[in-house]
Amino acid sequence: MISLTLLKHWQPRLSLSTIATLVIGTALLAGAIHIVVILAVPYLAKADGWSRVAPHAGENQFAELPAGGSTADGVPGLDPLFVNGACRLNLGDAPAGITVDARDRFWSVALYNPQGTIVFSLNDRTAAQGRLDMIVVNSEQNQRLRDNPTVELELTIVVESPGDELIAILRLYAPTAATRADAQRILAQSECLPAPSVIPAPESG
Amino acid sequence: MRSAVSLLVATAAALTLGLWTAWLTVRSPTPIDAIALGAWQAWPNAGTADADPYSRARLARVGEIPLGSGEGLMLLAQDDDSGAPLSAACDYRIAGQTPPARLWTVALEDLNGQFVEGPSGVAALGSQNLLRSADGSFEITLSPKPQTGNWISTDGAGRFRVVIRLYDTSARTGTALTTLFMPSIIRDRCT
Repeated sequence: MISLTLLKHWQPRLSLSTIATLVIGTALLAGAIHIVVILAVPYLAKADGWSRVAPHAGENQFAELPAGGSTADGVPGLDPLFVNGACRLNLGDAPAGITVDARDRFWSVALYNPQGTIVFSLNDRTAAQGRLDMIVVNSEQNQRLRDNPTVELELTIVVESPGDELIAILRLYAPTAATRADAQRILAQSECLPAPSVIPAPESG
Repeated sequence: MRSAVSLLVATAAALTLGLWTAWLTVRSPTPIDAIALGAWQAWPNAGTADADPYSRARLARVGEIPLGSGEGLMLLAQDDDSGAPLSAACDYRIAGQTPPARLWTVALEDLNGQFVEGPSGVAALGSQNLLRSADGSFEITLSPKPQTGNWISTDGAGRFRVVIRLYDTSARTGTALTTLFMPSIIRDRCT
């Protein structure tokens, strides 16, 4: 806008084609800046979902995510009627096993990656009789698993993750104080562990 | 000299324009990549592999963990049906029906996405604890003062948003999204 009024003021000295070039150039440059900013935000943002959840996520177990609280250390956007837990998975050394046993309530599990994508999610309807037995593998481990099918795995959900780093998020519906205490107990009893025995060792070893 | 000044002015204008339009699209709640149903907005692509760069930028800034497709769908309203921003200075009625879901919750949150906790506890209700009329529709009153029937306290909320989360819902599939119906948010008295 400013440039346009200035240009109008100078019109006697600037030719029409110069003005047109300037206007089109401004628009193109603005568009380029817009696109660069949008694409850069996920890399520049310091407080994205992953970096907010990661400090609270448990190692080899689910840890309860702080409900609400100040914006600085809380995880925003969590349902206040749920007990939310997080557990860090690293598939670099071994697959990870997740076991949840919770009946008579709604619950769900999501696998979240550092890029902010939910790579896999399910709810208790998918789990047989409220019990979930899940193995998370990377593509190389999945290949080895396919080459050596094990009978035990038939009742287990196998999920392949594109990357090694994940956070598993377990959400349990707990609308009252009593169900909350119960959900926290379920959270503590849920397993989230490396499962090296699921796949045979590499042949070279 | 004159052309140098023109160039400088044009560059400054481009910078302003580019940054401003970028900010407009990543502020929360952004209108980009969203579906709107009356006063409600939802971002079904957020956090999925199909998310566009705008959704990714918004999520990275807001820092929330979206619900996965196997979990549910979040819908958010920050205005009433007339388009006026929601505020604790007024009473509201949320009336109607929600899309089919095994469970849903309605909660109030502040403009930073933190849920509201009033003196009487968390400002939220689960669908199982709701009183309904014979046809399955419901009415929830938002007011700072206690009300009969379904009531969520807005005591101390200031400006707020209403968030409905549908769990285990068929509403996420592409065709269902266009035919969704959401409850209306009607403003009553204001003080």
